[in-house]
Amino acid sequence: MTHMIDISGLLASVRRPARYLGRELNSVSRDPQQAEVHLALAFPDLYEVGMSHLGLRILYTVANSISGIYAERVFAPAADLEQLLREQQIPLFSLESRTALNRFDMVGFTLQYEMSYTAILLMLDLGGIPLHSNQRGDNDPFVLGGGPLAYNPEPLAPFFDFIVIGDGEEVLPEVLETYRIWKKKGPRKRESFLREAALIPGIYVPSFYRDHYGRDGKFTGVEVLAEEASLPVQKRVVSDLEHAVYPECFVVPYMEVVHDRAVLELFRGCSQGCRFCQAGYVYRPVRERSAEKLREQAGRIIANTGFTELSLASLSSSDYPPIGELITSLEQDFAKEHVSLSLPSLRADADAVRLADRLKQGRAAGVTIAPEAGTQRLRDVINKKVTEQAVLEAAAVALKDGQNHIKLYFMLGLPTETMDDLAGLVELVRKISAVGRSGSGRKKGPPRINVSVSTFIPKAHTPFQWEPLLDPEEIKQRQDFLRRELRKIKGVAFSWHGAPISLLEAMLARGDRRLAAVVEGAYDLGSRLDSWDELFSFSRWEEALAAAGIPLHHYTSRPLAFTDPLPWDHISTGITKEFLIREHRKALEGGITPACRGGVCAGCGLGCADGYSSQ
Amino acid sequence: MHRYRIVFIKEGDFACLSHLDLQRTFIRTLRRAGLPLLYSQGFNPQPRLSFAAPLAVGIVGDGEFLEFDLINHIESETIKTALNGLLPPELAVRSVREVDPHAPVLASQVGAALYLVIFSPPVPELAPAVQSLLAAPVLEVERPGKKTIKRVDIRPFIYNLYLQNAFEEDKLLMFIATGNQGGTRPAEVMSLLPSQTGPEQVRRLAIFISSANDYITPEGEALSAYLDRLHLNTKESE
Repeated sequence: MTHMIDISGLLASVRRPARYLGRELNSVSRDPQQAEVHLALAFPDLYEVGMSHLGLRILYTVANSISGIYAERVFAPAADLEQLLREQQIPLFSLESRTALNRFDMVGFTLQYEMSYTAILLMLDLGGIPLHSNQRGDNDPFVLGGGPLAYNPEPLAPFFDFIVIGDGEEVLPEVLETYRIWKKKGPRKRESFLREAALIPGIYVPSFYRDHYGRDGKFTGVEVLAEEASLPVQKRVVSDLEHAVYPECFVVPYMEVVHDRAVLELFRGCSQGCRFCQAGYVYRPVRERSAEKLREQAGRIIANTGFTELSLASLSSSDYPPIGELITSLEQDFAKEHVSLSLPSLRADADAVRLADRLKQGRAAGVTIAPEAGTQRLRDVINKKVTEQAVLEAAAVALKDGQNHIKLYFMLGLPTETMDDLAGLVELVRKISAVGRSGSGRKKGPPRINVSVSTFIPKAHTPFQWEPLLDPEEIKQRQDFLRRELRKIKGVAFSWHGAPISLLEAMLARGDRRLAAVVEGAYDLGSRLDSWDELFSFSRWEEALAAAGIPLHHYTSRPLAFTDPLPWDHISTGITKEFLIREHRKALEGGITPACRGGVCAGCGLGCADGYSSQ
Repeated sequence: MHRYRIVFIKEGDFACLSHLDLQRTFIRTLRRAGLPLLYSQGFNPQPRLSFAAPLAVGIVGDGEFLEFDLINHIESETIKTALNGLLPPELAVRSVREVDPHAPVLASQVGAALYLVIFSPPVPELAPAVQSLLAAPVLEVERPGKKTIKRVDIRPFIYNLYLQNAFEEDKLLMFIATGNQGGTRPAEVMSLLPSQTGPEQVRRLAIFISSANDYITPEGEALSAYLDRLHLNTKESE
């Protein structure tokens, strides 16, 4: 008996039907009826975004390599398919076997971006799964989540049965095995599985914790309701990345996806310690793959997929010690195969830009340099260890030989930022423009510089987690200043993020459980893929906030004290609060903490003991 | 340099792939099959793939042509087996043969295509509607460009229209111009017909090259012979 949903009529009626087609090269096709555990890996955004995500590909490979497990993919539908699904009462389906979401044993969501929370509710709703875990019956799937935003899952707490804290490839096999054994013993209450799951290190079952608030509305802490639940929940880490499962048979999309290429993961974690960067803290410690291993993987991935581009990915790829050797060996291996290499994240210095230049990367669109802040003082505050001299050298490399484009990334609203820092930003852009004009082999007038300025958002588990978001009026004024001043430099294009979306990101990034009502309210009012600018509406969120009686500024502009209990205190990244407080104080004094590669341990609490060691 | 011409189908759910998707899929499949593709010279080398005539999204292709160049000679049967091992059955390769690499590519020669439009339910009065279209001296349709909508007379591009079976108003054959000398598409022709529901299915049966005073398929079969065979097959299946 098959439960395959017939979607050929739908495919003919929607835009970009390849989003829903499935059956790509290297996708895993099995009979779901034969699976002991049937898992849906759900990504709360469109196919072209989700298929660009490495974590999803890793987990797809990990789960499908376990015998008895069948893992499929499911993505959020665009509005046209949503409408057809509702009209024709067809449930949201998986790509591989076109099975309704509510027929799976488990549905696991990747938590990547705050503005995709409403897409999670959309997928549950269309998949026929009750939104709240306490409304799900014994035939409903277990809904789990994981990924970088799992470190503060509270605004999503009522919607998830459990949350994975840490590296998924480490925890997911244990979850699946526990479930397999539990399921074999015959039908029982859902809660009995959750009690078993809670005993797995790294598993957080939100319903086993109750949140408390004071009379002033401030969060005061959580109370543990089940003896199986741990406090805090410790993140899990893949300690041996070299031998961890890694996809070598990437699914090859038919349609063009955002990052349409094969990916090598050079290392996980980052040693830079930029104080605004959540990924830099929650993915610690740094774990590397050897250049030999990466070279082997690259050969197999390209042979298995036919991709023409290979990305050497990590949080800061120019920090990979043997990066030069790796590139040389890959260039040898692929000399005749027409594979281009790319480096997505680079330090803002000349050595890093030389690497990109060597790969002929960004010839058309320009190399990207991210000084993040305009003055040395402010770069010290955020621990972005790059000098103006280094940025100018990097720009000189990026703009040599007649190359005329460069992209610059900055942040606005960083802690302690003043108008002097913004004037410094403008001055730095002016100097870079001058570097371009004086460079060798120049022909075409001033260099074209894209200056992208995002708004700083304080994130949980970083040294800046106690900092307020800049007031929205002030954000607008500072953006106006930059727009006005940057316009005076020829060839500069300025782009920025709208203040409303920053407000909501900040609210959810440090939110507590009460915000679940706001997320659900926004969904009920029509919020879907709010990560897409053209679909985003602030007024729906304002209305949802008003209906829930929740003042936005409580979460965004209220300064927090070191002594305040935080809604994510019961989730531990292994980094101590003492370290984050120390880093926060150091930041305000402009003190630098060196990168923890090369033996200088900053004492963050992870206890890599003798500093950083790669093996 | 060795040039190969493959004939493949595009049907089922895969009729919904766009032309760009199809190009990407074939490039990756050829690479994945380990075939020694010849790349263009220059800063951004690309494999030399040439589709004879792009097919609009949603239309089934019964005989689509793709030509590509390899550095070495490879047996046609080896290429076919390798590609079919990687492609879904709905994009199956029907045949592969080596062709003269110095002759012009098919894409530059294609002048016409034969489409079959199947209506469900049948369109009442389809036959007279078709007759009046053929009788019209000018048939203007709106063709959206990048910024503006142009009005185009497609009458010169409609070579013939007729019902596959004279008394059944559900199967319309369209022999229309396509290729780099200008042309029209089934959707444009259908926009001029009195259909309430839209077609159930559109298939491109074959593409044609214009030769001296006839149209021939890339395999050299004359249009008239092709049509005879088509009607013969139709009768046999009845």
